Amino acid sequence: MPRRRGQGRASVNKGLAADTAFLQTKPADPQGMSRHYGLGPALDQFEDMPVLPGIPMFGYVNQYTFQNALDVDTTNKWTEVNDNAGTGLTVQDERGGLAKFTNDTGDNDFYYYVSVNEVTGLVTAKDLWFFTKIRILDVSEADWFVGICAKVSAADALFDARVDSVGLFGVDGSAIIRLESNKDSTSTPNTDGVKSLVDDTIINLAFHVVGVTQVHYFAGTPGARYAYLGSVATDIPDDEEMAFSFGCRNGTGGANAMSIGRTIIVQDE
Amino acid sequence: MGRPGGKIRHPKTDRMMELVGHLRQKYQDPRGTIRHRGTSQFTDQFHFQPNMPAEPIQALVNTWAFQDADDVDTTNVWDETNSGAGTSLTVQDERAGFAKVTNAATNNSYYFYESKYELGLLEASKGLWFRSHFQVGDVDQADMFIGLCKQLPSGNLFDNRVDAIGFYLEDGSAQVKIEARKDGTATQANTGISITNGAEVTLGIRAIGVSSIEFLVNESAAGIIRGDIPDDEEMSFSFGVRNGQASANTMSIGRTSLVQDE
Repeated sequence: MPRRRGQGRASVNKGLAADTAFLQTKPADPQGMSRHYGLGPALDQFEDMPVLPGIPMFGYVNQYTFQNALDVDTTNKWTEVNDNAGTGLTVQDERGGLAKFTNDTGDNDFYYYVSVNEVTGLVTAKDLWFFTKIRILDVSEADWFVGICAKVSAADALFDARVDSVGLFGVDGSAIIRLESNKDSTSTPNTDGVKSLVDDTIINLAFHVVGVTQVHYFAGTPGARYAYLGSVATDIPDDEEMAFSFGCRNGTGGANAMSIGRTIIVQDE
Repeated sequence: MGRPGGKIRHPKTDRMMELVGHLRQKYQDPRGTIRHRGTSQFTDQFHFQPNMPAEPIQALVNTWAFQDADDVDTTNVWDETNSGAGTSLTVQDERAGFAKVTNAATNNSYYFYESKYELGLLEASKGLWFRSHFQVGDVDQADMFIGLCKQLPSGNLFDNRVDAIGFYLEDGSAQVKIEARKDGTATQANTGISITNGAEVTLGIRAIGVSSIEFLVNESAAGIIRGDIPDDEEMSFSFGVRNGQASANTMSIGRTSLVQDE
């Protein structure tokens, strides 16, 4: 029987996990995360290292990292679409690796990126987990999207004309994180506004698609617990392959910027 | 918050770990490695596969593998600096994938490599784990460094590091030394661990915030440094070797992982 949301493990179970499986969780860690509980710091190089959830071998795993220029290659990896020329996706000198693009300075200037291949699909009785991290310079002056989306390439399409998608987005004039599932251009947006973006601050975003029936969305400050944002249970795209996609459009006459970090998609085989 | 150093788990706990967690250790494994204990080798494809520690999703993870030519690309992935023209970093036909560099044959010729981007940074209250593999052809005729280092505006990786944590060799000795260095001032130590010509060496670093760095060589505790820890500089994964005599030394580098708390 699943625990209710927010319900912690009994301390006896924590102790059992630590002693039996070499696992521990620190109070500030995100839910579901376990660290290696080894022989002690002087003897065990992996002491305290986060280990679970890890990248599984059983499962379809696609990982997008941003640590060298090959990772932002717009020939083999990404389709880049933009309106006016700012600075395209470029890896930054930054802890862990992030890539950043900066729009040109006109209102509604944008960049968006679509992975060259559509490697995700939602299937009955198979789950999908999506984890990413983004940072937007001016969060209330931006249209933005991150998630999986059937490939688009027309101007503004990632912001205004998604056909099949699951993801998180924001609209010009608001910092609120909105949730969406979109099938055949009919969407069920969820604008509960449980959490907002903060200017120029990294946020972890995630969703878990249960078969083709539900999508549960999460957001969290790096290193802290995720907040449950809400769920969507209609207009789930159940017959389309989709590409990892992200982008940002200016909401005013000033150059907005978006950074993207390591993104992981795991799908049941 | 681990166990007191050296305390060994009780055999009953290990048995429980096998039965409840489908996990087991092998005696020859590095401390902390845990393998999947499946139903049997006949019915379980993952039987005995190492699975913890794994590459976590909930952390910052950078991995450098050496399995194809893109991995040694000196336009997009690495900054290469050399004195004398030998054979630059090239992936080898070798178990797991190593890339090898061979210096020119004159004394003090070198190659060194810095990842294009500085992805490592020590921060208060955040852990950093680094694990790498390397080989040096002639270990006591080499200046060598491997670790994290602020990118060099000039000079070389052997004499001019400014901010760094890592392992090094000095010409004339086969013993591995360790250092933490901030703003050009270093705290260094000799591990007393000698390595062998052409033999694979495994290195580990575990940094606890900005207060303490533990070093391991071939899975053995090799020292702890608490001084001159670079606490405000982003650093690149960097490695290189310089000849100690007029003969071409070599260095091979293997899969390297960097994990940092978010």
